[in-house]
Amino acid sequence: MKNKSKIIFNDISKIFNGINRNSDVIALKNLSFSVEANEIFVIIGPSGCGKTTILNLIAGFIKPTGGAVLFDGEPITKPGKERTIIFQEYALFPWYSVRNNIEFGLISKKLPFKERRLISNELLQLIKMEKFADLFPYQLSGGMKQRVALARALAVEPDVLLMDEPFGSLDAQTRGFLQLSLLNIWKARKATIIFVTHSIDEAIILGQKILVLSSQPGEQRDCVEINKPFPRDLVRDQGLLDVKQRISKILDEELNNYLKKTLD
Amino acid sequence: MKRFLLKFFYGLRNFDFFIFLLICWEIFARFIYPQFESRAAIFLPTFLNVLKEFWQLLANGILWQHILASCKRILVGFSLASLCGITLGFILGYSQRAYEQLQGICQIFRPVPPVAWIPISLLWFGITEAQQCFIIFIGVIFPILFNTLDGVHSVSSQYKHAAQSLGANKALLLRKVILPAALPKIMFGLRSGIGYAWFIIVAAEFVSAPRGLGCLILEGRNAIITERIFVGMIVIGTINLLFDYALTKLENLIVPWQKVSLFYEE
Repeated sequence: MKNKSKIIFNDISKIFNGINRNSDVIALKNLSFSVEANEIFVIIGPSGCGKTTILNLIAGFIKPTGGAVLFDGEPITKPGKERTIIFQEYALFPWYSVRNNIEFGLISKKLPFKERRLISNELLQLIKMEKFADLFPYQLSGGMKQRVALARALAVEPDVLLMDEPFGSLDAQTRGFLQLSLLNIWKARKATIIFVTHSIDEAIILGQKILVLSSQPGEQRDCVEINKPFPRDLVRDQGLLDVKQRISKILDEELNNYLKKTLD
Repeated sequence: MKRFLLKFFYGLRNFDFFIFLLICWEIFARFIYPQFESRAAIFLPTFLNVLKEFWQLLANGILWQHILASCKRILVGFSLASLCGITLGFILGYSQRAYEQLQGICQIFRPVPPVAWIPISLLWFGITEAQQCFIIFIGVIFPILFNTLDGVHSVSSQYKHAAQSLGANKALLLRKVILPAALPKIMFGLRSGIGYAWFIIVAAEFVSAPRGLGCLILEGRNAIITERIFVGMIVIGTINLLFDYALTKLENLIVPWQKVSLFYEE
């Protein structure tokens, strides 16, 4: 049973070394959780709680100070295309057109030109941007850029899709639209998604499991499971409203703790 | 044709003040300065006389010889320096080990003025074209090297992370991510390099060269033809402007996502 989980965090700590020992930052402390295959796992917490650190650990950009992060039962040692990340700032390559951005992962896979075109056409259709294939990132709106980033990540068919507040800098309407598109894509493609956000609404709209972290150092405060079908009605569904209240209570507590700590 | 003419005259508007200055120069040098300085013609030639001298030098082909000699040296030295500077900049920027070992050496040689290399290069190469090219090489390589290094170092880690998590190996990362991301800074290095090249060429030609724009200026001094000195100076400035224009156009061509504007455009 334990080995079947996609990602396992086993008693993970992460300390960032400062200039001296007093300025060391404990980002994560004894954090344990597991992510099952094909679920949408949402991580929420106050800012600076180590949400991004968790994603960087899974992506393999950094290594934990203590404990081991397991992917399919194996410890993660380096970045790889089975764990693809999507950033809030898109990180599209400005020197590539939309199509070439999407095809980047396919080039690193050494796929021949024809196959690349086939896959990129399919993805352009999926994100409804066939008409914009030859534009450059600076010519796109924020929502369009994030759709391209999503298509670029999907092109390598990752096992795990890591999303670091991907819709954080978008307006509410675009955000809602992209949340729905993400759910549709997830239904069609079946991938494990680990989604970091600071919006409680977003967490409940998307999450099948929601991990709530404390403020720094990041420790698990709560883990909520929501077994409701998509799309979810956040206005009328009493169950969801209860979850919302439960999470916002924890986050309020954390905010108060944080303020007390900094004011003392 | 009509559009071309319109554009031409529109472009001229940017030179209104410049033309005004030329007129001021002419009036001052021809009518005012001689009133209180008897050797005014030697100290400050009039604009029209400079133009006349320019025309004469152009007509008898001497000016072309000087221009060609200087440009040839600069292109050879500059090309070699770009090749070595960009390559070294990449190695230093990419490999932490190379950076630690080599950057000290580079930092020691960088502040040595290129002109200080003239005596030793004369010993090594004698009075040859190679010596002139070497001086330009030395003067140009450091701005190119350090701008490339800076460009490679300042590639956003998000681009690198995105590429790695899309499965890029080291070669692909270098070729398709770091190189294009560093291109704007590399091009900036090349543009400053070509500027430095003109600083240096004149000094190098003063010391040892049978031909070149530096020689033209020296010739003017020795023969006390001040007009010739002015012609040399103005030609150097103009050619440098053309080189910079060409490099900027090239930059816009190969870095289309980041348009560089010329100060004399729009």
